[in-house]
Formats: sequence, structure tokens, C-alpha cells
Amino acid sequence: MSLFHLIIQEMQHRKLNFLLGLLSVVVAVACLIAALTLLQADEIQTELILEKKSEEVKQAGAQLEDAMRKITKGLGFNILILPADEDLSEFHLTGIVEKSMPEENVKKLAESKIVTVNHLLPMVAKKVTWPEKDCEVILTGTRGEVPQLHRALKKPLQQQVPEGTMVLGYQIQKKLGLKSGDEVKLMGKPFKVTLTYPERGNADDSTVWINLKQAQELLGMQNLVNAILALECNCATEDRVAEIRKDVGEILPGTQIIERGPPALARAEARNKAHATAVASLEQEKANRIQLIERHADFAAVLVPLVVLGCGAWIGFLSLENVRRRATEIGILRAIGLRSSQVFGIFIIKAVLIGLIGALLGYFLGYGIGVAWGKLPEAIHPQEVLFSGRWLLLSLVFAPLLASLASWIPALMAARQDPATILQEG
Amino acid sequence: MLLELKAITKSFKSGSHRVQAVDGISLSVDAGEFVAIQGPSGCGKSTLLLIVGGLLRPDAGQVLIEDTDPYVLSNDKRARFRSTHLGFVFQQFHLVPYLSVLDNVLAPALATRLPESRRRAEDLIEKFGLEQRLQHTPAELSTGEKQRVALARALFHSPKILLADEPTGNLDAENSEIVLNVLSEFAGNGGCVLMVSHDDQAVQSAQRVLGIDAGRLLPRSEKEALINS
Ligand SMILES: Nc1ncnc2c1ncn2[C@@H]1O[C@H](COP(=O)(O)OP(=O)(O)OP(=O)(O)O)[C@@H](O)[C@H]1O
Ligand SMILES: [Mg+2]
Repeated sequence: MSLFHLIIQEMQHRKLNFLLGLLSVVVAVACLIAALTLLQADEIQTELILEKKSEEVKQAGAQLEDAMRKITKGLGFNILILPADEDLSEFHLTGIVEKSMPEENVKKLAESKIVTVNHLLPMVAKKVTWPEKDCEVILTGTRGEVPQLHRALKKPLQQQVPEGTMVLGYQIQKKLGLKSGDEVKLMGKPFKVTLTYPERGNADDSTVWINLKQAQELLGMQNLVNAILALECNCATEDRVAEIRKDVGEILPGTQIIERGPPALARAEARNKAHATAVASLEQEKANRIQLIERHADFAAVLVPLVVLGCGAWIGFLSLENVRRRATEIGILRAIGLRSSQVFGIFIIKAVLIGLIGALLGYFLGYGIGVAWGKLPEAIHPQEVLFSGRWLLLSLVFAPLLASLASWIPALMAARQDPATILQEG
Repeated sequence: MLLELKAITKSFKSGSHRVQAVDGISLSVDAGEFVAIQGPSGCGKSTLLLIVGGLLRPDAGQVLIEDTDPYVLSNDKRARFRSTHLGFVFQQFHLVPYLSVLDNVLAPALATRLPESRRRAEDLIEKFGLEQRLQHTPAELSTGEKQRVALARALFHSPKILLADEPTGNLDAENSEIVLNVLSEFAGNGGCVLMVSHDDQAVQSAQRVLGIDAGRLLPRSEKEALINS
């Protein structure tokens, strides 16, 4: 016979007292663990949401960039390689290239190993009066892409304009009342209109495109080009113009290079702005989540101590009731020689046992509630991520502590009880 | 002298007035003596036994058991002293309700650091004819059986003095006889029995019967004289 045996026998004998005590420990621990587990689930949920959101932001950014690239491509030419002696300020004022360079340059570039420049398109362009129509146009000659020898053939970006055909800008076709399929004469040569462009709102609207070779003949510029257009340049650095200038300068010394299409700055700004918006929305989401977690934590900070206090009081009450009921028993145990510390021990050890059993049950109940209400996606295995050995340990320390603290005063009363008075009453 | 009481007094405050429960009792009991104290209800019998048992400190006077005054000992030492020197038997038995017969008899072992002797407990239980009841709880026993278990518990640690408060108060004649025989036997083996009772029948087993009234011992009663003769 040991004190432990006596305690176990008593718990089995007064099952209701034991079960009620156990219940309150289970409730207190379950409440604490459920709160902790739910807060943990909140945090994991937040991480998941923010991860998803930032992935979305990244994707949106990529889409934006892609769209930007497409727009840039749609507008035409990214890089313009101009003759060495071209007056750039004049060019910017008129939009027309005055000087020319040998068409040979295109070949040189195409046969070089340059990687920063793609899709080479030689062109001539001059402001002329269309004699037959008495109309000022920019006559542009283009022959489509010059294949680059050391590369796999790329899908041409710009359609060729075959000999004898003509493509019209919006204003020209509108002014002259022309449409696809019409036959016209330009400087005495016959052309067939194959395409008319919708309005672009720039010099393209006043442009007539014909085949490069024919344009060179009509303009008296055999084997000469005004400019070489390079589409879709891919550069590693932000300062792409400088990079291309260096590369092209090595092959075609003296040529001038300018960037076409939406200015790099505007593009970067747009990108920055899109990025900033995305980041702001990400921050907002983060702030919202943090606020939500804080609200939950505040709620738990009020609820958990209340429940724990309530359960503690209930355990104390049950212990007191147990002590009162066992008054004679305490008296007889004291009479046969048990020390008061042993009587104290009987009640405290009982409380610790109830605390330990209650902690185990309460932990798994609270954990179960946390898993069920945490609503984490199955994919991340909520049972595993939400299980915490540390909290189980915490429960196993906390609950016996709570139970023995709550039983402290009743146990002291039992220990100090005068055995004589009890036996007199019997 | 195994037990000596010197001018013990004890009073209780009961509402506004004091009740003198024990009023100057002196008594000496030797080893091997069976002493009965007889008196009406409320005369202070139980109070006297508690004082002798080291459970209730007297207002004045001295208790000496083997020349030791239990009331000069610390609480824990006095508890220890009780477990080595004294055995108690009560009218209400006071068995621990959730322990088996065997565990109830073994309960005094909780108080000492000595190894518990299951063998001795079983022997005592067998002696009282309860060997079939080892694992039963008190609720499953008859009143006579309960008192026999209480006796076995009181004797488990071979006390010097057995204090019995109305041990036959709840028993029929047959069971009373069993209990009284055990007490006589204990005294016969060199123990000392102090039994209080108001029952004429019970006190007849004692070698010495003292009358008590209003907390005082009466002069040698006729009964004592009768028995002694
Ligand atoms: N704790 C106490 N407080 C107040 N009065 C007490 C207390 N204990 C006993 N008394 C009183 O002391 C007197 C003696 O009581 P005690 O229990 O010793 O009598 P008793 O002879 O054992 O009676 P009974 O035969 O009925 O058991 C009684 O008047 C009782 O009311
Ligand atoms: Mg009494």
C-alpha cells in the first residue's frame, strides 16, 4: 500500500468528483490549446494568402511586361541605326532621315555574331509628292527581315512588302479613297494596294510602304539605305541603348543609334508603378491579416484567462468539497500516524494526476478544435503542421500547476484539520 | 508504568459557557491490563481517550506513555509516536471506504518507513475469519466484520496501548464477544487496553472498571470490587 495507491483508489471510488475535476482541466487546457492552435492556423493561413498574392503580383507583373513588349513590338521599331552623318536634331524635328549609308551595312550586321540586335530591317524613307495623286506622303521602302546567319531563323516580325505591292497608312487611304485590291500608279510604276492600316496616330498614318528595291529605284538611292531597324533587341542591362551602341559600333563604326517606340523611361515608370501598386496591395493584405490575427489574439487574451480562472475556481471548489467529504477519513489517517504533510500530499498529488490526465485529453481536444476550425487546406497537412510537442509539454506542465494551485488551499485545510474533532463527531 | 495520566483537565467552549469535559483525571495503567471506563453519555469518555491517544491536547495535566509525554513532541513526531505506540478502535469503525479490507489493515504502514508486511496483515485478517474478504470494500461487509477489520488495523503495528471507544456499541452479542475476546487477548499478551463504554455487558471483560461522571473518575465502583474479588 502506498499513498499513490490510496489516491488512485479514491479517484476510482469518487468517480463524479474525479470526472468533474478532470472535465474542468480538459476545458481549460482545450480552450488554451484551441486558441493557440487557431492563432497558429491564422498565421499559416496568412502566409499562404500572402504567398499566393505575391505570386499573383509576380504573374501580373510578368503579364504587364509581356503586354508592354507586345505593344512595343506593335509600334514597330525598337532600335534605329542611322548614317554617321545624319543630323539627329534635324531628324527629330522632321521625322525624316536625310542622309544615307550603304545597304552593305545590313549584310555586315546580319553576318556578324551580334546578339543584342534581332530582326534587321533595312529601309529607305523620304518625303515626296505622289505625282499621280498630288499628295504629300512619306515613301518608305522596306524588304522585310534580313536573316541573321548565325541564328536559327526567327519568325519574321514585319511582313515583307513584295515588289509591285503597296501598303497604305490610314490618312492616305482615307484621303485618296483607296482600299485593298485597288490598282494605282506611283511615279509611273503600277502598284497593287494589299493592305491598309487602321489609324495609329503617328507618322505611319501618312506613310506609303513599298518594296525596298523599288523604292531605292524610284528615289534614286540604289544600294543605299536611310536606316536599319532592329526589332526586339534583347539586352541584359537596363541601359540597353548603350549596350547596343557598343555592339553595333564595333561592326559599323560611326553609325548612330537611337531608341524608337515608347521611351525607356516611360516604360520603366509604368513598370515601377505597376509594381508599386502590386506591392501596396500586398502590404494592405498583410496589414489586414495582421489586424485579423491581432483581433483573434485579443479575443483569446480575454477568453483564455477567463476560462482558466473559471476552471481553476471550479477545481478549487471541487477540492474543497472533496476535503469536507473526507473529513473523517483524514481524521482516521492522522490517528493511525500519517503526518499532515502526507495528508497535504494526498490532495496535491490527486490534483497533479487530474492535471496530467486532463492536459493530455485537453491538448488533443483543443488541437482537434484547432485543426477543424483552422480551415487550412488539406494539401499542407494541417494535422501535422498544427501539432506541437512544445504545447503538449506546456499543457502537461500548466494543467497540473493550475490544478494543484487551485487545490492548494483545500489541501492545506485538510492537512491542518484537527483529527480529534472529527473523531468526536463520529 | 506503561500509561500514566496526571490531573488531566479539558474544557470546551460551547456557545457562551464552558463545558468541563474532563475534570482532573489521574490514572495509571500497567502493561497487561485491560481497563474499562464506564459512564453516561456526555460524561467525557471520548474526550479522555483522544487525550490519551495524543490527538487532543489537555488544558492541564500530563500524559505519559512509557514515560514520554506525546504533547511535548512536534506534530509529526507525535504522529509517528501514535503509529508506534497506539492503536484505535471506534464505535463507527472509521474504515477508509474506498480501500479493500487488506489495504485498510495495511494503512498504518503509510505512516512508517518500515517495509509493509503484507504477510502480517493477511495473518491478522485470517485470525479474524475474514480471509474470504481480502479484496472487499467496507461497504460490502457486515458491521461485525467491519469492527474486526478495524481491530486488525489497530493491531497491525503491534501497539503498546489499544484505545477502544465503544467498540461493541454497534454490534450484536456474538460479535461483541469476539471483539472483547480480542481485547482481552491483547492485554493477556502484555498489551494495555483502555476501553470506554456505557455498556454494562461490555465492561465485564475488563480487569478493572472505572466509573466516570461529569469528567471525574468515581471512587472504586462496586463492580470493580466484584470483579476483583
Ligand atoms: N469539540 C467540542 N466542542 C464543544 N464541546 C465538546 C466538544 N467535544 C466534546 N464536547 C462536550 O464535552 C462533553 C464530553 O463529551 P464526550 O464526547 O467526551 O462525551 P462521551 O462521554 O464520549 O459521550 P458519548 O457516550 O455520548 O459518546 C460533552 O458535553 C460534549 O458536548
Ligand atoms: Mg463518546
